Amino acid sequence: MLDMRVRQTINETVSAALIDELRPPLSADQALVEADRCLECGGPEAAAPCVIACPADVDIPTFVGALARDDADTAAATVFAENLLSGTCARVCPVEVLCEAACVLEREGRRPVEIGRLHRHAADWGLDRDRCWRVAAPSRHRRVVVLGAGPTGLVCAGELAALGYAVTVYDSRHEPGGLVRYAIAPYRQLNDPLSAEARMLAEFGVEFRLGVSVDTMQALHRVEAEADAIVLAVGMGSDTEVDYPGDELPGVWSSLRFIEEVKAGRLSDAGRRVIVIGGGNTAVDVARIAVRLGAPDVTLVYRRGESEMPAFPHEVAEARGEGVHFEWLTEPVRFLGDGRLTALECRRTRLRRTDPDSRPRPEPLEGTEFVLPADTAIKAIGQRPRCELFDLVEGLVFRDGRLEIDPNTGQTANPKYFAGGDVANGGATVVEAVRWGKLIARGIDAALEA
Amino acid sequence: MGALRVKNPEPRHYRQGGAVLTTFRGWCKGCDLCIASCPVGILALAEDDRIEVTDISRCIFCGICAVRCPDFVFVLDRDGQEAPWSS
Repeated sequence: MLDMRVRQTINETVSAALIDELRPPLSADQALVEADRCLECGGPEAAAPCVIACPADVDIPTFVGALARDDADTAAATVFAENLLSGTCARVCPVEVLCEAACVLEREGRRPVEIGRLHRHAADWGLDRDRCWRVAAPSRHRRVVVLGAGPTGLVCAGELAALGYAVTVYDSRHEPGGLVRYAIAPYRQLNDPLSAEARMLAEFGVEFRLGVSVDTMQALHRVEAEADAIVLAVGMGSDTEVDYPGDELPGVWSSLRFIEEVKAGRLSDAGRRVIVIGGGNTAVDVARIAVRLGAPDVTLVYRRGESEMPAFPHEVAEARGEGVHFEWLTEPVRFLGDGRLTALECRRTRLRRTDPDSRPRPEPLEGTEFVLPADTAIKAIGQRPRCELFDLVEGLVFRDGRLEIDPNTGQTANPKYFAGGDVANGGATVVEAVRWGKLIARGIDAALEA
Repeated sequence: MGALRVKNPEPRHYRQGGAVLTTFRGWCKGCDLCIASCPVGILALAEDDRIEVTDISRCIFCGICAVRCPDFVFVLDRDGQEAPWSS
């Protein structure tokens, strides 16, 4: 009985640590004081550096200035005018390398304005009011179908609805949000505020058909018949499969499934020794989730060096501060275990540059094999774009395996089809997906108005 | 006692849309503080070692020059509001 109670307390502590946000909300007073630090840069013709750095073009000085004058209404209207996923982006944007990195106060030797947390303050205030912060233009009597309810699809749908188009969004999942809902670390964002953001889109006319797959020729033809334009915002699918011997052992995970299980509350213990394989932002996120699950020994294994890691350097530094160990220039050989994972056999690599324009390639160093004991291993090597649907669409053109898309409009070689987001850039940030959503909406508007 | 003489401020007006950056360059002593702090790098010393604005189209009207200058050389006016902007 005592044991049960102790376990329950531990579990509560663990889940609290898991959802402890990296960027907690500001109180009203804190927001006022922080907003007042902003110099509200920006001339009539020269935009403020923070705005230039924002892929979603949010008018940061205007909304921060409004918060400094205690005018949350204007602040909320300003952020949603440019970014319909303001609540989400305010939580998950890498502001350290975007708007806050551009803040002129940093040059002055002072800390930059906390734009991310102020953005959250404005967006949450707006979403809590349950008000629609955008209005739909009069109907254009044109219909657009968006395939995929991830950030690109949601923003594109919202912007088109605001322009007066009838928009329907399809997604095979039962909830909107795509990888934001299922694959973003819980200490960045749980499922709020996605639901409120989707509700706002529905309020100004976006129709959602969730739990509906469009993955057959017949289904696609039905969609084609009802639409003047179709958006392929299908994003990234499952993890890139890299097979190592022993993959099938219990205790070996792919990153997306691991994050989804943790967020759903079905996985609350990863054991004492956790190994993460990969060098991107997802790998670092997974390592930090493992720390929050209470694993005292978390090691990230990457086949290149620290400077070649695609992950943001500030997040690597934060992970190191939280106790994550790094094994650079190391690649997995096989998973070891008898009925369950017990260790990962690795070996050292060295980098060789074969072509001066490409990244150096790791080469294994034979005879350097060693064993890292592990209770859990998570493969976070990257995700694959969902290309299955592309085979069903006539007239698409691929170059170097990638769908050819006009970078200014999102239009594909089949003029009725538009695409963008992770499909185009191979997986980037949520705010980059927002940029794509807006760009495609403008592209469709221009094409259908022509 | 003679009358108090104020150095001629030699005002110059630089315009970007409706916003104006005015320099009273007669008061400038060429200390460089503004040049070092301008985030867009549009301030420089002219041949007479006094400040000049090299490209007003890039000015972001942050007002840091006005705050930094010990000699009150800069006045920014953005839509009738002097820097540093008051709430």
